[in-house]
Amino acid sequence: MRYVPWGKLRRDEDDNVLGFLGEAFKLKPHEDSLSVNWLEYFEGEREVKIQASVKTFRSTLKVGAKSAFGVGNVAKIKEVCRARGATVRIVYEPIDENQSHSGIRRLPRDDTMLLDSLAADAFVELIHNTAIP
Amino acid sequence: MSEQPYKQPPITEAVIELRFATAIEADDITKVSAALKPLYPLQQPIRGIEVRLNVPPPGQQGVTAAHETHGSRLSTEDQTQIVLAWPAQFVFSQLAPYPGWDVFFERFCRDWAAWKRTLGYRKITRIGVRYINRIDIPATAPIIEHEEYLNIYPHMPTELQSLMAYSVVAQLPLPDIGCILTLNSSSAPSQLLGHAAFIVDQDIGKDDDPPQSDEEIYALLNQIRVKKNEVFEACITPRARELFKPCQV
Amino acid sequence: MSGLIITPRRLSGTTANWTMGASLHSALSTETNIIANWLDELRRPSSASVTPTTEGQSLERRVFDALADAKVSTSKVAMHLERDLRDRLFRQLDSLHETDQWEEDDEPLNHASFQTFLKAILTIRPARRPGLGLSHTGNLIAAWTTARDRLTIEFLPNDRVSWVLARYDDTDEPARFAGQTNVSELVEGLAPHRPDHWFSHASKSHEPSQ
Repeated sequence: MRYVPWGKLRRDEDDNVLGFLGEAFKLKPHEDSLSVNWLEYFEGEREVKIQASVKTFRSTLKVGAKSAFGVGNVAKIKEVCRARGATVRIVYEPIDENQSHSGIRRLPRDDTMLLDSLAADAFVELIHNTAIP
Repeated sequence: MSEQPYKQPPITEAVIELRFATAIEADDITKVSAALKPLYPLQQPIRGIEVRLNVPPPGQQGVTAAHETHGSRLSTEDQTQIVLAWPAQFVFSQLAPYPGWDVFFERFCRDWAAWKRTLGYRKITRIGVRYINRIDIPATAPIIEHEEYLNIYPHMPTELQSLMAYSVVAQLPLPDIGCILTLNSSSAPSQLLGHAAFIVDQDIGKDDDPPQSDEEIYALLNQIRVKKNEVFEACITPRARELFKPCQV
Repeated sequence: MSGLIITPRRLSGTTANWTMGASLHSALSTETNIIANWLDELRRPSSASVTPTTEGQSLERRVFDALADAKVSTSKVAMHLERDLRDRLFRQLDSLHETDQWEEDDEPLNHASFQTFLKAILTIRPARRPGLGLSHTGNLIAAWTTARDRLTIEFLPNDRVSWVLARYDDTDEPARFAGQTNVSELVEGLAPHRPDHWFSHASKSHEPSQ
């Protein structure tokens, strides 16, 4: 699960949320991996895992009310990257404040088609922050 | 919106400026900013620095004088209506889209009244109106014949043709209204792809015994309005007018 | 007639801020410097160019300045924009810059990026307006979506644009294309990909998020 702030959500001309911009999956200059939460770390049914992951984000990041979370399948993420010639590794990297923390490593920095593909074809599930109490 | 001769007037900024004989204090700037806050919710401090380099005769020391002034920039949310409150100036500005003189002038009267209610009377040393126009001409060829659109441009000798850029400044008296016209015309980088831009910038001001009463100030401003229209129309050709989409009469 | 040459080369300075050049002052006569000062005074900058002081660099202040700058920039071309389009653009920009939605260490809207955006929009003149986003470095991103098909343009400084599009054409495997060009070549770059698919209202059909 990836946290996506409001400014990196794909919206229409009336600000209705449609999905994610590729920018949401772009590494920042100081980053060497893309931070995500590993949903399977959490226990319970899928909905419970999602809620727990969102709450973890809220405890570690400033989560804007209008933000959202993207959920992607590991295999699909790797497939999408492979199609663009990138062999990524999704590494479990727990940190003190977030035991579910993982990183997508070896992600190319400036491949706009890859980023767009991650946004459209890999992280296909969007969960609004407002949907999680 | 009041009736205008053009649907797309090329005005980028319209300004009315009043200068005063005595400066107001910083507290007064704060006071008038607060008074205008309901109309101009966005307010920020601004700073002006004027440096004068006096180049002396050989052997003597030059003098550099720097004078810093502090004021307040007030604006609407969309940044099109602006007031600059300087210690010795009241600058009232409208950025594009220009709403027409009637709306512009009515707003000025409103704000000037609020200024005076807050700060009282101060002797006015200059009243000026400035209109900056940017004329965007489609560049259908590598050379734009600006003479086909403008009546003010530098006159070049035959041996020196095809300008890359130019700037012309002229000052003329307007004796019928007791003002001085400062007219700038220049080429400019265009904001539009495939266009060339030209500036026609006119400032009409009176600093020789300017009016002090509201009635006389308003009368002068309306006289200047008529004159600035005449000046602008004199500076452009019919081909330029077509670009602004004249309103049907 | 003399005519003005249109050159793609960027001039070293605009006439709006031409001065005699401080470096020349000591070489010129007193009389010449007096004339130069006088001419400079005649060419006073407009009040719109008075920029507020940026004492302190709080996020709120930087965001405010970026938004104000964008709105002033828009006013310079407002005579070429529909009023409604301008108003909606401002609403979108305001929405993008709500500080309580802000991601830490992101940059607010970059002035040069916004200039590129304005040039593009005034050239393309799409009937459908895009959704807007911001990159980490403050570049404006415009996104058009028609069903699953996506066109995304990032507006870079110095009149550069980076675009990527995906067309699914009723399959699960989209055709993707990308380019990076000068903004003056954007229309030409998109032309083979039938951009009206995104820019015209006839194609408008998208699925809001679940």
